[in-house]
Amino acid sequence: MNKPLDSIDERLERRVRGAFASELHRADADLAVTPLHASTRGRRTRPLAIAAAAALTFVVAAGAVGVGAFISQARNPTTPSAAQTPPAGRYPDGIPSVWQGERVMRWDQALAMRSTASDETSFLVGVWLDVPPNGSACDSSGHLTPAASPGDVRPACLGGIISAEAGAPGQALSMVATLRYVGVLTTGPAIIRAQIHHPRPGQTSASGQCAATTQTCDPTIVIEDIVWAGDAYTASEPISVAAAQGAVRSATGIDFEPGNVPPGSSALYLAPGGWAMTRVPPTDDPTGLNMFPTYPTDSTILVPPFMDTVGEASNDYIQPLYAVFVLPSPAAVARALPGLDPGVAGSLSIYNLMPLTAITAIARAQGHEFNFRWLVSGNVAVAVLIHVQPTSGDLRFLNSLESALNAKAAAATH
Amino acid sequence: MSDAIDAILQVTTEASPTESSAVRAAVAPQVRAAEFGEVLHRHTPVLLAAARALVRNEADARDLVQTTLEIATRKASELRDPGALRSWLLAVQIREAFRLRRRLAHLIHHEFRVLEMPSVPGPSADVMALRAALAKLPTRARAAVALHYLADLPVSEVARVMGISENTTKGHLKAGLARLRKELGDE
Repeated sequence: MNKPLDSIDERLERRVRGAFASELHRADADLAVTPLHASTRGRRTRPLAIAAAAALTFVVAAGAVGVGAFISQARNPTTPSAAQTPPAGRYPDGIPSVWQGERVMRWDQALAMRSTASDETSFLVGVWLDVPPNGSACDSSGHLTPAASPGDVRPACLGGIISAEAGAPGQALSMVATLRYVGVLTTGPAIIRAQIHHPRPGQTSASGQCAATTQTCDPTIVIEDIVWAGDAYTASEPISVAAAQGAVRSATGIDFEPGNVPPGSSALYLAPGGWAMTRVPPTDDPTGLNMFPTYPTDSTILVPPFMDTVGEASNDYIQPLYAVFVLPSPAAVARALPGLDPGVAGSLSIYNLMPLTAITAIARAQGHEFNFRWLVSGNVAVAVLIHVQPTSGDLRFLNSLESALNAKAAAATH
Repeated sequence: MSDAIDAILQVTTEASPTESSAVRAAVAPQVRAAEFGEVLHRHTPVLLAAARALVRNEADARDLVQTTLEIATRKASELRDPGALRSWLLAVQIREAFRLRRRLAHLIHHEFRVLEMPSVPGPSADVMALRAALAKLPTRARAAVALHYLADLPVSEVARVMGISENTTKGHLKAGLARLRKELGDE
């Protein structure tokens, strides 16, 4: 332990060290669950019992109003989930096990190929992709957006984009793969054509750094092509992307759409294989940045009342809903949010998202204490901003949203 | 694999008396590469914790650590003192973080609003408060505070890692703590 600096309050130093010790412990624990390098599975799966629970409703905090965390058991016959027995030729998550007569591996088998493959013979792997609609935070040589230019991406730039199963975020797979595919990448299931011992490992990196570390790059799984990218069998259920958009619009008046995620937002990394949607910026501010909130004046729209005052004070883009995640199935939501426990009293209140620090400070100064929470309905997870101790207005807002989502889920199953 | 990596392996496996230098010298290069990877792996928790203090979202933090490990693998020969691997890795990460910050400044013209969306129960209020307060520190002060109080590097080592004088380092630390005291309400 280092000696405290002269004139520095030792009590504060102890507090800082204690908080950092917690951060170090957290990093250690997180790496055990989601390592940086190869592992066969990203995240633990939830008990099947949760997925089997039907129409569970819990009461938030004060218990005055029920805010459901509805998990539907009913299935759309055309879009079965992983919980069902798959038909012949499909894995449980719907990805074909054979494609045009060729066997489709899963990722653990592909990882094993890194040590067993003796040549560059290609093979097929079933994966889930989560594609940033605005590109990634990589440098300009590694952009992900569809383009005519070569689609090489540095391994690090694939962070969180490939997962072994829907809703199992993690960097592990991305760290052993690199992308040479040129074409449109879409979020969802995919069968990739890959190879090991690529003849040009030095060229798989835009910066050419692999050329200096051939031993490291030689076992890299090089993705050359995407031969299949989902079908009706793997579509989101019971709530489709369009249905989720409609439900949010009807409950809040706010338009959300896929592909409108702020650059650099880590929200995308939350739920591989699922669509992340954020608010459509108003037409008078197409960038959606640094603006006052402009909610519809329609009196039927329920917006937590403190939003406007906080937004104006912070001169920022405040909204009661941050993002809407539409995953392929309730089971995929369970994998993406493994700690979430729908149906248990108070579960909404403990799954806080990181507060927006600047906004939080202003809100506190004005006597507000709020945080982001999850509202889950079937295969849809919504990040909502409400008071730490939900007010009656918050609960009406949440109930309105939940009812709209549940109605969509019910409609899809009839 | 270079002699430098052999030296690192030698230092970091001193506690393993069963492995003689002769045995190690006979190990195939790819095995030494794997061992070196294991050595680096032991330092990933402190690298990730420091990265989280330096950049503002989880994906960037993990990318930063991964990039640090890639650079370390490539540039192992530049490590003069194999016993100082930890602080060398932190130095590599700090440089990369500053480089990343400069690069992103050209690409992104607003602050990330969502810093992170953890899917597990959140950290303690004190940790949350520290994160929020840290985010408000100037970059170099934040780096100095993280290296000193998180990575537990002495002031002289923080100075060396950051490439600045000890006095400047002390200045960053004092200013950083003063700001933290204010932000944390620890007057």
